[in-house]
Amino acid sequence: MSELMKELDRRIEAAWMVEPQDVRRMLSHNADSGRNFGQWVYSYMDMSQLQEVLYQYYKICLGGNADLATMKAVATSAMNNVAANSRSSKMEDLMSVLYRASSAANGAKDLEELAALLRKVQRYINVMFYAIDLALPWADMCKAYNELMKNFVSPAREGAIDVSDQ
Amino acid sequence: MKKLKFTFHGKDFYANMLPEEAPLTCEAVEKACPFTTRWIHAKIVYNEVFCMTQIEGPTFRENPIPNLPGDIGFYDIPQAICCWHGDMKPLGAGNVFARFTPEQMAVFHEETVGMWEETGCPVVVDVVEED
Repeated sequence: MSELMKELDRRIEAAWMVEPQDVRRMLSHNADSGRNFGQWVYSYMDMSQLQEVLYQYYKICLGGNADLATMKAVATSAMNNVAANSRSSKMEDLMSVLYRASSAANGAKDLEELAALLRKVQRYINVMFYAIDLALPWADMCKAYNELMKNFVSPAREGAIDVSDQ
Repeated sequence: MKKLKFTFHGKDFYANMLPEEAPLTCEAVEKACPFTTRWIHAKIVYNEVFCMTQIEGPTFRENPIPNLPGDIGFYDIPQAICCWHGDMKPLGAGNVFARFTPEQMAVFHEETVGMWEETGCPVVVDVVEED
């Protein structure tokens, strides 16, 4: 586990001010079909969700009152899920880190060790979240979105009722 | 008095730390400083910028008050320092550990109001002793 922790420190440091290669891999996925934006959205959602979930598990472990086996089960489930998604999105380094972190989590001897690992992984996910955020031109995207939304109506809107109007 | 200092665009911007209201957070922020990071514009609050940090603060919101213009808060989950400035409506109750005076906020707002178009601007964060 100590080697993984050192690796996570190196990856956090490397991604601090410079875009990780994983982000460029993700941005090229489905780019030829013109559907990379969906890939971006799902990657962003995955990082956002995993950073929240791992933090909660980290805090529960810090509290010291949880069952170790249960915390291992939920934490590895969360990490494995995003690892699988990362395989699809071509974020290969992230996939590798999460699968190995999951394995390391299963070997944690106590809640304290598990908490330390989860916090380190969660901090790595934080930098990935920010890197993916920085990879989108938000101002221009919003301009394009505003134009599109002028004439777009959801197919599910017909018959919709606003309860507050009743 | 200890002040939070942001240096970007070749200029320094200051805010007053709030050690009475958030002593653990202020201590954690100072311990992590100085560091370089990037401003990112918030997506929902109109005038908010935040930056990624490696601050290991308390795992609870020490000073959870509705975030108002001038407030500076720390969010432990994403380890972000968030600055609310200018005209904005509060979204939540972040852990406020520093605050701009109206004068400090005015100059900060002038410099950051265009950040929506300028994502990723580098910034140096520090805690300094100033009168």
